[in-house]
Amino acid sequence: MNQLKTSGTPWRHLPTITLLVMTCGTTLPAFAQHAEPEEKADPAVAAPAGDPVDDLGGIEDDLAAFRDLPVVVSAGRREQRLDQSSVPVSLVTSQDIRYMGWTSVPEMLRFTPGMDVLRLNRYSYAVGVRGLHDAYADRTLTLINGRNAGSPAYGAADYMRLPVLPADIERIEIVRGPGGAMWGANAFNGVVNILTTRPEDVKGLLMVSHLNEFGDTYQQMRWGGQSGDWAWKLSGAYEEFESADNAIAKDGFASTDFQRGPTFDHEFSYKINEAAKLRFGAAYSQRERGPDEFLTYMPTNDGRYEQTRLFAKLELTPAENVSGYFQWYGNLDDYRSPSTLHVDTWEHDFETQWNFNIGGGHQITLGGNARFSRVDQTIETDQDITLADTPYDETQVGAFIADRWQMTERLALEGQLRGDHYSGTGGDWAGRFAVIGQLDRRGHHVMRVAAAKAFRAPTPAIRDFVVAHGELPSPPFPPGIPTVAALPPEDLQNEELMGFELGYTGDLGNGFTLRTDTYYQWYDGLIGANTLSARPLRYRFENRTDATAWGLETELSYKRDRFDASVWYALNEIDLDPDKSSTRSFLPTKHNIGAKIRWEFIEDWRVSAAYRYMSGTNRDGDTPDVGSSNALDLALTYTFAGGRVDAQVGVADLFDQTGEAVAPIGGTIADETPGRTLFVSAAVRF
Amino acid sequence: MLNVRFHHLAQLGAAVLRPPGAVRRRFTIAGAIAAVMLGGWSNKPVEEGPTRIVVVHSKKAEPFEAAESAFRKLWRGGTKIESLVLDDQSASRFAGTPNDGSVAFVALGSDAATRLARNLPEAVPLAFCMVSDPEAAGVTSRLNTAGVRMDVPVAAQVALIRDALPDARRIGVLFRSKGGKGAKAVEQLTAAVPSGWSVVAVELTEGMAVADAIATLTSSDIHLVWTYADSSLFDSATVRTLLLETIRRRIPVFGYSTAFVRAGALLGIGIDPEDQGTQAAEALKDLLATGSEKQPAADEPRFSFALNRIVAEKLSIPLSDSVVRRAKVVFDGD
Repeated sequence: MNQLKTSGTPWRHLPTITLLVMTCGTTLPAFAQHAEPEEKADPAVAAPAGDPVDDLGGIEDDLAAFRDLPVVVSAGRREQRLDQSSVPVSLVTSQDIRYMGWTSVPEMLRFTPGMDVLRLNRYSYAVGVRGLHDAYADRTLTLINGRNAGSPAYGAADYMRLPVLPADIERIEIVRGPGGAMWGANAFNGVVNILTTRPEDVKGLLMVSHLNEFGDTYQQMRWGGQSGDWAWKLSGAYEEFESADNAIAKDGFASTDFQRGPTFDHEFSYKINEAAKLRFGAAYSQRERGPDEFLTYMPTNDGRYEQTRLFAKLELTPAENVSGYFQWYGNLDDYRSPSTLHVDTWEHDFETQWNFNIGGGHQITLGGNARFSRVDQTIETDQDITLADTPYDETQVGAFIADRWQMTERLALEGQLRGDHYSGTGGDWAGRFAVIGQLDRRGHHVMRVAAAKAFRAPTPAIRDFVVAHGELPSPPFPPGIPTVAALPPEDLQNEELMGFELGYTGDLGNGFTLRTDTYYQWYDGLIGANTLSARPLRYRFENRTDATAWGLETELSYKRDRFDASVWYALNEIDLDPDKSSTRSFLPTKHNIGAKIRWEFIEDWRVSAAYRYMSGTNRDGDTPDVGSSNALDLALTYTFAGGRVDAQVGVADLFDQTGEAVAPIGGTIADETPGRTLFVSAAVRF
Repeated sequence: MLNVRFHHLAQLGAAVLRPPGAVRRRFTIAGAIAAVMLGGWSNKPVEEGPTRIVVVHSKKAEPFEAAESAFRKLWRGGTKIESLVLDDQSASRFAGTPNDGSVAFVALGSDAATRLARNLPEAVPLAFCMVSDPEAAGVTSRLNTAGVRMDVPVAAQVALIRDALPDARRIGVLFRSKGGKGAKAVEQLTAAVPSGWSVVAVELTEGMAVADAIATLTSSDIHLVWTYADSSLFDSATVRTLLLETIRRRIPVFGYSTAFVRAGALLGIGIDPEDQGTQAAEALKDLLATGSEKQPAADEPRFSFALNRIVAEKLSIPLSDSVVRRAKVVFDGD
């Protein structure tokens, strides 16, 4: 068992403690229900002198009965219910996040069926849908509000650097399996789409403060408002994680995996008219981190990482059965690991998507995008590590079409087809075909049969990966021979995936819902490391591994009044060919059991729990397995002052089993992380 | 536009739906029949009364214009009818109105009603319509005032719900207490539901995400979500979120307007601005006929019942033929 080692400088937490006290202190006037100031009359219709000022704002209520509203349900444009989706989807909701006190996206995903999550150190997680995960899991497409959140260099997202604030997450949609055309290129093993609240959905001030027993802190403030046709959401946060050695007392244990930095996420919307709305925003995160291992080389300086995300989106509804948008977004990422390397990337994406109801039950979606990206790497070390360091420019263009055809009241067919062309690797296609059938007239039992094909184009970091590190002693070896070397890949092809799925969703009555999905997938040409020699170590990335995978994900949930519970089981098997061949990733965990409960046992008092058992994870090749674990998070929340204040206490990893040291793929250093962690949290809304 | 004669016949039917304790009116059933039989009641010009009527719009908006148009059609004769939009100069103009009976005012909307009620000399007749809350606007405390409200009695709405969804017992409502309108609506709903029913009210407080409040409401064991006209709560985004979530959870929604039903509520009520204008004209005629001693009154509005059969089909809710026949507006698939 790890012993808690208290920090020698408690004063450094004084600002956080002060903020917590201030947050609680501000609840007193709210609780006392002080009178709110009267609204002043609009000066355009101000009462004449001598008349009392009063609220003359009844016009909008007068006209509310005549205001046109966008049609949500129509005969031709049926909104797709979750149980009638053509892909298996898991959800993490804002209520899950709020009542569990989670402050990082990987922790939110850990308890979700279909997700594999391993903590590598305090600021790094291996996250992937149905396995094949690592610190940079390029087989899982990560999006924020439908926009790419992965690095153009590595093709994957660093979840702990994403400029997304937990209190702003409306829900996270996890698409399990090949995602299909409409999710974007490279929706390979799955999609994680983080959806944040829109400006028009949040009003007022929100303050959140979170502190755990190791001194990790998280504070967020958000201000949302609306004026006329404008709405805004201004959100900012600061977080700090202590390094593991400050939390775990062990002789000889030292780690440098601290992380700290601010995050901002601002969004605006402007209603041009009833048929057009403009949205735009900017998000930014900056992180300082302790040095992390890079290919057995341990840098000596802290790293600094900045990410900026900008977007502008014009949403249009020109006719009742037609809707669409034009969007630009730009992502800039500056990864600076002094004494190792500096990676500077940017990407600009221009895209459009249009939905039509053309009659006969057909719901057509057309879209396309063009993306321009640059990867610029500079080596900053005297350790003879060499990488392809020229600026790398790439262009990707893609187009897709999808048709959901409601053939009869009970039967729908859905086809999706997408083609993409990369300047670096050429073209490829992805698609999905599904049959969705209601087994009963009321739609309480729905079955789905689907087939899908997806691809993953190798990223620049893989395609041009050349490393030479260290030098063998001379004599006896000739001078200049590196100790470790990755040879340039030759003609890497896209990784391919084909899968079949069978799914069922049933409303069993009395609040019970059952979801079951099974799949069988073939992987062709997974890119892994081919070890050409052990001493000196020589390897090269190649399309060298095929695999078959099959599994089952089933979830039973129950909702009644103030009680919400679910229990799930997931089986994920994979066979590699050749056996134990490299996939550059962890393999899927075979047996997974999970459960979630949220219960308002007394008015305003809620207890929440999330549980996950993992049977153990295999690393690729023949390196040691990662052991099984049980994770249980608990939280008790008291909401008062008319729902304005949440006071919360909780514990993460009650069984203290998730702290096992796990080295990332290709790494040698495994950092133990604190397991059981007590926390307190407060949120105030004005 | 509906013929005035059919308006009167519709009123006879609507009187059946009117709950007890309705605001009194001098228009009796016998009088209505006589008026219809005599014919031309609607066309009979006003021989006495003001020589000038000023119709004041709270703002420039199409519903107000439709109400005025209907008012003018009913008010034929020698009276000069002027129209103006409220501005910051209006107060001084209104205060100087002569109270010799030569001029009457009609307020369209809450702002105009409030301003006129406050500034007109009390002897000047004032009619109003398109006012969502006449009490809050101050018109019901003024003498020589008559008009029509926009809020359909909640009891009438509950009666529609009971007819369309006989098994419904637990009614959910999302409200915002700021301003008092929401709390009042919940209070009215609670008072209107029959014995054995219950109301589940979820308050959207400041800083709370709408999606969270809707999720809380729809995760309660309710049979229907009832809505009321509150522009500070139900904007397009909220309506959309509510409809999507309720569709997902198979909970029908009662909409406060025909547009809401069209958007995806299962059933609801609708107010026609032309009906409001017509009722305002009738109220003003009534007021002028009874003289200055008449107590102020706000009549209940004529309203229509709307159904969305696409939603009914989607939620697998059977609607009886009798319910469908009663609906004036039915949204159907192609």
